[in-house]
Amino acid sequence: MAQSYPDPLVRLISALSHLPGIGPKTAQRIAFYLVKTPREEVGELVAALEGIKQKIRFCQVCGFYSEGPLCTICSDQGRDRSVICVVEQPQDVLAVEKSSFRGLYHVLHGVISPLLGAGPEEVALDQLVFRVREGNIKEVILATNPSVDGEATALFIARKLKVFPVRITMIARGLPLGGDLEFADEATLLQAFEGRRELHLD
Amino acid sequence: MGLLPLTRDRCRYWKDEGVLLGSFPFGETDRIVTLFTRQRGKIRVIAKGARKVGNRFGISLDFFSYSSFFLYSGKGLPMLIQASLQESYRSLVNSPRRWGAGHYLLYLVDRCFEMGEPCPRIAEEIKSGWRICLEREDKDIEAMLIKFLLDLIFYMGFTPSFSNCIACQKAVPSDSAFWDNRRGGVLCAECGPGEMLLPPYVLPILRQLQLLPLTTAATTLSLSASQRSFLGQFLTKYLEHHIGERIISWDHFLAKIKAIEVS
Repeated sequence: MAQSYPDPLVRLISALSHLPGIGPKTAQRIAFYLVKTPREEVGELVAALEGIKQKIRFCQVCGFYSEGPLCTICSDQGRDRSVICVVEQPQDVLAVEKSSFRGLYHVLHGVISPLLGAGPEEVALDQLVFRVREGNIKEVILATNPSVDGEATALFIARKLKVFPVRITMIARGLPLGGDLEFADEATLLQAFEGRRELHLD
Repeated sequence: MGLLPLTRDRCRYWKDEGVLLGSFPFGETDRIVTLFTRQRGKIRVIAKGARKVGNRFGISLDFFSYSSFFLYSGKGLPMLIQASLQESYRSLVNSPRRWGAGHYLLYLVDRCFEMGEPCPRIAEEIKSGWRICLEREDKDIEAMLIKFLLDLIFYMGFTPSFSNCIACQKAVPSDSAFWDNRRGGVLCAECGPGEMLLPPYVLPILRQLQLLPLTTAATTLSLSASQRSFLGQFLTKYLEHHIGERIISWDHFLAKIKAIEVS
């Protein structure tokens, strides 16, 4: 049936269905919606799409999204420049920003995973080593996902950085807030016990 | 008129156990996961909310976990309703080589099996393989991987002949044995010329490996590094020929891991 649509519509449906999470049906629905949308609104969308391709790039220092050579975080002089938090993906930066962390970041853009054929050269590790060697870094916080590959990548980074005089830490693993202890599995509990900390009541 | 009893195949809910072969994000918080289960083999299911912190699946839906699953099949992909951990081999991550070997077992199973081909023995062997990776030395792990490849060939129904010539049925001495992947086995000195000549140690090792269980094969056989490397590549090529898919040999897989070890 799609063959009987005009060519521009077929092209739009095909282009939309390449987007993650959008199948042919959803692509069709969006395309029909756009056909009916006023020209100005579509123009805005087109301008926004062009904007991200023309202006958005990765920060030369940390690998987060930026408009210039440096992202807003790296160019913010009010941040603690002696601490780097290492994350897997740029969107993880936004998640960590919700916490009280006010240091710098380093985005790996992936994890080491033999199953996916991703070795150490596939993650942005050399830049991290360079920053630790050249900069006045006191602590590197590893905030990779608590998955097997995330942990293996964190351990690999820790091994790689141990030659430098920096403190290497990993964010705590264990029980999420709001859950019931009785439903926690043994591996999560084990990690929670390993990462237990002293209570300072003063 | 009473309802017909639901058979195992018709039941929309079912319990199974197995391991995770791979996953990718789907939608906002879901994941599509590929499992290898005892009853249904390789299956792709949707795990709703699996990307959320504190989700109901937790570690049971990660690599190196042997878990029990409760699933529902409706329209489209089956849905994973519940998962609980039975055994965790997560500490494999502490050593790059063991972590790689653990992944290699999953890679082989994922590559060799089509969707919905059950093989409970292989599900069991993955567990045993992980245990060996955790407890034994590096050379034992490599011997285990060779035995795992051999078992994979056996359970997939491609067992080659290691004793008699596949052309004339004569017993083949190990010092003058030729090999033909296409016909699936050894050839004698009369039928074999033109095919690959096997090094004399290959057949005795393979015959012995066929008889040993995975758990003891690793320690019983003492193989040199070059023998392990040859056997691994030899069996990989054989498997590759029969399933028609490219398979990365352990040596190549290890090259990536070695980059992690040395740096």
